[in-house]
Amino acid sequence: MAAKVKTGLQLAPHQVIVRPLVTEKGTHQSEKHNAYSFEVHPQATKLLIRAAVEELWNVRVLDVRTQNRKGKPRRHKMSRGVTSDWKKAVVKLHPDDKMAFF
Amino acid sequence: MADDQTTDDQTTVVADENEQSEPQKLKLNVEVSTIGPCRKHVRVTVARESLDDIEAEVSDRFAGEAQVPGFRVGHVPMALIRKRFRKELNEQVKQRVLMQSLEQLAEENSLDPINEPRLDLDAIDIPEDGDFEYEFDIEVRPEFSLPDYKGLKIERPVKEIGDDDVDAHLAKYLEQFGQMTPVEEPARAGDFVTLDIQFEHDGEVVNSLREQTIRIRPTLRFADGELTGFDKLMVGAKAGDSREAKLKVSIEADSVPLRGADITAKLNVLDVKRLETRELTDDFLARIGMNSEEEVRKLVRSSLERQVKYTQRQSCRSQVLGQITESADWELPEELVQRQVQNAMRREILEMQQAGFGSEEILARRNELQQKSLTMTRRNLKEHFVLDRIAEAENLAVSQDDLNSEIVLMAVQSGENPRRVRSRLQKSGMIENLEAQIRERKAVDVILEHATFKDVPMPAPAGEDVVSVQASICPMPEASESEAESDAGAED
Repeated sequence: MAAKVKTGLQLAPHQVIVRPLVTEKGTHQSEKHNAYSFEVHPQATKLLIRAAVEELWNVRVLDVRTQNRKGKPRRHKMSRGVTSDWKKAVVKLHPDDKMAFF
Repeated sequence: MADDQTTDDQTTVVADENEQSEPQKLKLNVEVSTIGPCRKHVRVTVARESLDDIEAEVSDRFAGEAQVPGFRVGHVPMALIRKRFRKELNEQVKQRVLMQSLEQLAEENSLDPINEPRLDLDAIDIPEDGDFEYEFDIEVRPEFSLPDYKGLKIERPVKEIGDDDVDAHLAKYLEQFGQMTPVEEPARAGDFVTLDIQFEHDGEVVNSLREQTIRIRPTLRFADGELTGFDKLMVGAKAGDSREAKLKVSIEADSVPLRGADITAKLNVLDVKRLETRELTDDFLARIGMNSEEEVRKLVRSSLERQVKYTQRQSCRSQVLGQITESADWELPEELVQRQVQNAMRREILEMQQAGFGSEEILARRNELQQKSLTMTRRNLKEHFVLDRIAEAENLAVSQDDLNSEIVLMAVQSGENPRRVRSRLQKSGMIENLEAQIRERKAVDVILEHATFKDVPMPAPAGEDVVSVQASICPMPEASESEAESDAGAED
């Protein structure tokens, strides 16, 4: 039987994770629940995100939750526009593992 | 009860504020070593604990104000603040540590510096860990034992104003209202001659003055040189006569190329005038706004007394300064002296360059100039230091009132608005100089209070045999000839 060929979008770990989100809420979650938030590639799946975080930071991931954030309407004088949609991921780590963004 | 509690709470708050405003003392280790006359080398070590305290304080303040996207003001985690504002924090900590340690240094050690220590702020860095160490050189006030300034023996020139003096002064005063009438006879001493003067140097005419009316006195003084024996030269001269004389340009003349040059002056007499003085008639008294001769004499007497007082004060002051700096053989901060001298030199050299001198000539004159200004500067600085110490010993302070009255006096003298004088002084930074001057004057007054005076007869005032012309031998660089002409004829 022939090997299964992967098709579609192939994302490397550094392409999956766009940037860590350093916010007041994020800091609070990281302190209280050991959960860290990231902006991720809009097409990244929870599995891809888990693998990427585990590889990049060398930690154990317990849980990944994602949200698709709608872009916000923006207006400059007469022209109307909208910021891009983006995807947010909150990754919960094993209690023994920690991350430091700053 | 409730009231009592509120008061208690308020007191606590006030106490807390006081604690906050008073910065904690740093743990310092200071090593001071002498490296020359009036120069010290200071090495300061600030302990890590103190550094950490200051760092925490500074980052706390930052945390309360920093605006970081994603956080409300005041809710930014300290670690983020430290990372994001590392440069600014370091800068502030450095500034605080330096300021505080220098202040503490000044309080705890009696260094008595003259100027700010020269610190290269960019070269100093607070280390990540370990103590912070920095060093600098500083100029300090010279150490000397204060000369015994109480009970100085001062010779006070005294003069009783007698009727003769009043007569002489009155005669001089009346001369101002006298009338000059041309005479055909040969000139006598005290007459006025109108002259055309031509100055020649090496056969070339350097300057000429037209129609100068000059009184015949033993010495004729120009702005940049004098002609002695002017009376001998001119007595017996008539209109149409001409005379020749040799004179030397002063070495401090404005015109650099002609300094010290030999000049031949050719004087052509245009006419001779004699002064007819006025009598003290009733008409004349009315004209000068006086009622009687007695009143005029009284006024003259009081003006003479004022002059005597002024001369006394000047003479006492110069004797005091002479005596207190006589024993001052201590070393001065060499850098300060050099700086002052350099300023004077730079002005002089610029002047020479503008006059078109080559670099060799400037170099040749440089040493001579330096020597001259060195002696002057040293003496002035010594006077300043000694008087300053005396002022300190006597607890003399310059109050705002002293400063105000001095400024008002200056304003009156120059006919300006006191407010404008003050703002000009403040702008040019001269107000501190003025303060120092007043302080020094007070110190001299204290010395004079405790001095013993020996009265000596006042020497006869000089200047009776000198007549000055407000024109110069060398051509003025800017003043036009017509200006020089209109300035002529003033007497000492």
